[in-house]
Formats: sequence, structure tokens, C-alpha cells
Amino acid sequence: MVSGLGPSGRRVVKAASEAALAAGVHLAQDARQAEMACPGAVQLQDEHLHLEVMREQLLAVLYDFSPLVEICGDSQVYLDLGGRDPRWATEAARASQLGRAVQQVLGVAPAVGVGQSRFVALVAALRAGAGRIRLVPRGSATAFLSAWPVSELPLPPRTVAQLLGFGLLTCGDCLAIPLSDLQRQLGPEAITLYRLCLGQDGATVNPRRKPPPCAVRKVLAGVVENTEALRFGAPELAAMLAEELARLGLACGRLRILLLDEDAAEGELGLRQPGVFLDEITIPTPAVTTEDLLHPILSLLARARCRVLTIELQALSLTPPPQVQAQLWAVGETTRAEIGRAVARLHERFGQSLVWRVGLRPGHPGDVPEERLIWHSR
Amino acid sequence: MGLDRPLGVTEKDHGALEAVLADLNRRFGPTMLRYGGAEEGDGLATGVPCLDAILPAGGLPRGRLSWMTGRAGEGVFDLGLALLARISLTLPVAVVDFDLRVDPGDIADYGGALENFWLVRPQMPEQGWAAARAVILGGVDFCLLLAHSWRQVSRSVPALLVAALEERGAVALLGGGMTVPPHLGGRVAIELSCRREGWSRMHRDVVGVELSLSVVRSRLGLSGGECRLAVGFPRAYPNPVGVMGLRLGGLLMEGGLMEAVGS
Repeated sequence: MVSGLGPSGRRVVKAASEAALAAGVHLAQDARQAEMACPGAVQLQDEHLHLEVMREQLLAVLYDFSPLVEICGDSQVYLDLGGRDPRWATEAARASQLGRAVQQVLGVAPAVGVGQSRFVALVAALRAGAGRIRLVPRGSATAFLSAWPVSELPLPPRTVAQLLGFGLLTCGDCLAIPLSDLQRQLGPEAITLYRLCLGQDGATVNPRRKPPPCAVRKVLAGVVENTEALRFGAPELAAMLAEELARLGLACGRLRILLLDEDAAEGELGLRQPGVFLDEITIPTPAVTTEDLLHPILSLLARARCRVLTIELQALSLTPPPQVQAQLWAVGETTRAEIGRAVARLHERFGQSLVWRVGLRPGHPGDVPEERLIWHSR
Repeated sequence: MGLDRPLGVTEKDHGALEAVLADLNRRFGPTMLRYGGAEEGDGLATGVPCLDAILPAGGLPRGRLSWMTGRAGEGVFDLGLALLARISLTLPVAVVDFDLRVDPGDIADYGGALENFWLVRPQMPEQGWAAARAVILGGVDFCLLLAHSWRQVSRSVPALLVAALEERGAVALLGGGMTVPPHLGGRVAIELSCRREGWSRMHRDVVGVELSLSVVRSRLGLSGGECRLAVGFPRAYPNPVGVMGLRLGGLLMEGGLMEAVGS
């Protein structure tokens, strides 16, 4: 259970495991009430963890083990380990390495289950318990599940009640009944039940696509102690990040700044490093252009109070820019595109300086049109 | 031409009229002659109610050429750009700046949408006319052509421009100048006259200019309508001389709000 300071200044629950949720804990609940509802829960504090940072670090670790990762809330993660990886000789070695890596990030030992299907892996993890690994070899899933109670199967409550009414308490009991008999009683649900009991549920991992890293880094000529001076570099940083976003064809919904001093370790771009200052800001509308990014960057820089040698900006919550798809069929966009083609023909005929488009330069650059406006020939 | 014969016109006179019109149509094309006045609602609303009220079509006539006359310093450029800024909020617009004196930042200052705005800065007049026609055919709905003099206009230009306007139902407004060559003047549907009536003052500073706009010639309906408009400057000027030199001369203009002060 992770708690942090809420908007009212009180400590509230920000994340909780399924077991804690089942015990009566719910998100945004007062932390004291949550503690009373689930006394055995391990309570972690968000201020020390940076929950979002931790989630991203966890994802980075998981992607190292498999490109197909599905996150189910804050308590379950599914990985598709199909295919051999030369780094690990056996699946057991791979699973134990995964458990250690996750423990390093979260600080708590996970329960790891490895099985031939999603349901088998879940049951294996639940059977294993925290800090342990349960491996169900291929072909032995049916025997492994035979004692699993039907009340814990992901079936509609009515079906479960019917099974219990028939005296079928475990998966093994269900498999002892011919499928045709079950179908007569349960209808199509019988096939689902049979597959679950055989460990052949067929459900695959619904992967969350690995977000492309989008970050820029600027190393200053020397250590800057007056962070006010950093604001003069904001337009350059905004332009660099806008260029990176344009390259990826994405818009940024959240912006993180990382200020590093000369002692901070140099690391891979886009991953959190032990720096001296880290802050984030949410952008109301996804930012794409230099103008969109400039004000959030200035806001972030205004909060910084430290020695700075390197500035790193990370674009988070990446989404497709709305105007790329959403406004493609808008009348204004298509009309402008048509005019743009006419202007292109004029440029070919008379030169680039005939027709201009202008935009306002951000800030207060002055009254002269050449300084105040951004001129585009297309 | 298929005209209905009006009451009181003999068959012979009507036949002669049809023959003359057919001859004109053959020589100058169908755009040379138009029948009747514009219908209400056939115009492009300028967004200024008192101005739209005096225009026969309820706005600047679509598919036609209009002309706003006025000497340098009378506020024609200011008013033209302010109107263009209002129209740019809903439609794509363009300015052909023959004298290279327009500051496009004015469009933003007048509250316009720069993403709907194209600026043509021709080095030679022919380039400007060709560009105006091209952007109108491309999709621009309102084209403002600004110049202090309209002497260097070749004969083929007006017909081509009006043909493009008719094809798209767009509007072109000539701004500035007191005279035009006959082949251009013959294509103008509405002629507006802009005069400076005085200055808007606040605490002895000049904060705007009051303009009088009248319809002096119209091929679409009755002329003679007049309205007064006030164009506000975003900053105050200590005296009218500064305004004349900086703003209405077209060297530096920063926008303001436009409002009707009477009609």
C-alpha cells in the first residue's frame, strides 16, 4: 500500500495491492483508516518513492525481460516469456532474475508464477506467495490446477453457484464430468470452465507498447548556481524538445526536468538518474511546438534552486498530437492545405519571398515585425 | 440572352436590346454584364453590423470586386486590416501588399487568426495580381489588396480576378487610392469612401480614430448609405501628428478594437 499527501494535506492511499483492496482499502482513502482496515499491509510513502518514477523504472526493468508486458493495476504484471533468451539457461533462472530485479526497484519481494497460460501463471504466483517463485512445467498444468477451488475461477457468479450446487468444488471435480454433460447444464460457459481447468485458457498478454524515450539533454559550459540564468536557455531547450517530438510524431502531456550537478552520474537519456533536482509539470493540452513547451519549461526552471551542470528534459505521457488525426478532415485544415498547394505553385513561379505566413514569437521580443513575428514562406 | 420583355417595351426595342447584350457578351465575356441587384444575404458579412447594414447585399458582395477609396492618412489601411482580422476568425484571408507597408502583426493586434492569414508581398504589380487570383482559386475567401495608387494595372488583370472571384464566390476589396483605371473601375461592384472624421481622445491623448464610411457607388442596389466607425489604438499617442506619422501612414500599426459610433 502506497500513501502520499493528498490535496487537502492529509495522507491518503495512492496505490494498493489486490489483497489490500479486498481487505477494504480503497484509493484516496485516509491512510489511517486504510491501516485499520488492513493492519498487515506494508505501508510505503510516496514522497520517498516518487510513484510515477517507480512505475517507469519498473516498466524499464520488465521490458528488459520481455517486449510484451501488460500492467494490471498496481498489483499484477503479466509478461510473455515465449521464446528462448540466451541470457538465461532455464525459465527458472529467468524468473528468479526477474523477481530480484523487481525487488530492487520496489523494495518488496514479488510473488512470481510461471505457467503455460495466463491463468496458470496467476494461480502459480498466488500459490507461491511473496518472495517466492512457482514454476508450473508445460504439461503439468492440469494436475497443478486440480485442487484449485471453482469459487476462485474467473467465471460469472451464477455459473460458480451452479457448480457449487452440483457439488463440484475443485477443478479436478469438474474435469471428472464429461464436457457434454457440463454443456447441457452450463451452456457455453462449460467450454470456458473446461479450458480453465485444463490450464488452456488461451488468454494472451495484452501488451502495453513500450513508449519511445523522448528526452533532450543540455550540458552547460560550467556549473550555474544562479538558476534564474537558466531561464535564458529555455527557448533553446523548448526548440530541442519540440524537434524531438516532431521526429517521433507525438505530443507531450507531462514534462519532467532533471537538473544534474557535476557529481551526478551520467546515464542513459530518458531514465532517472540520481540528480540534485527533479520536478514534473502536467501540461493542460498536449504540447507539440516550441511555443507550447516554453511556458511549462519556464515554470519548471523557476522552481529550481541548486547547482546545475546538466539539464535534462523528459517528455512524458506521450500521445499522438490531436491535430494530426482529429482535425485532418476539418474544413479549415483541408482548405488551408489547398491554399498551401496554390502558394507552393506561386513560390515555384515567382520565388519564395512572394507569399508569407506569420506567427507571433513567444515572449516580448519587441515591436519590429522582423523580431516580433515568425515568418514562414509556406 | 433570354430576357423577359418588361411591360411598356415594344418587341422591336426588346429585340435590339437583346442583340446589343449578346454582342457585349461575345466581346467581353459573361462576367461583363450582370442583371439586377444582389439579394440580401448574398454578401460576406464584415462583422460590423452598421457597415453590413449599408451594404446592399448585407455585406461585401460575393463574387465581386469592391473598392474602398481614401487618401493616405485617412485610415483606409487600418480599417481594411481590422475588417480582414474579423473575417479571418472564420474564413481564410489574404492581403496583397503592393506598397510593402503592412505589418502583419496588426492582424493579431486586431484580434485576427494568423493561421487563416496569408500575406503577399509582390516585387512587381503583376506578381501581386497573379498571386491574388491564385490564392482565391486556392481557397481564400477574402482578399484585401492595398495600394496607394492603382495606375499600373494591365488590362487583362481585372477580368481574370473577377472570373476567379465568381468561380469561388469570394470577395476582393481594393483598399486605398482615389482613382483607378477605367478597365479596373468598370469591374468594381461597390465603391466605398473612407474619411477620417476626427480622433478619439482620452486624457488629451489620441487613443483612436473616427472614420466615416459611405457607399458612393453601387451596381447592386441603392448607394448613399453612411456609417461611422471608431478604430481604437492599443496605446495612446500624445498628439495626432505622431499618429499620422506612425499609424495611418502605414509604417507602424498596432491594433485595437473597432466599434460602431453611429450610422
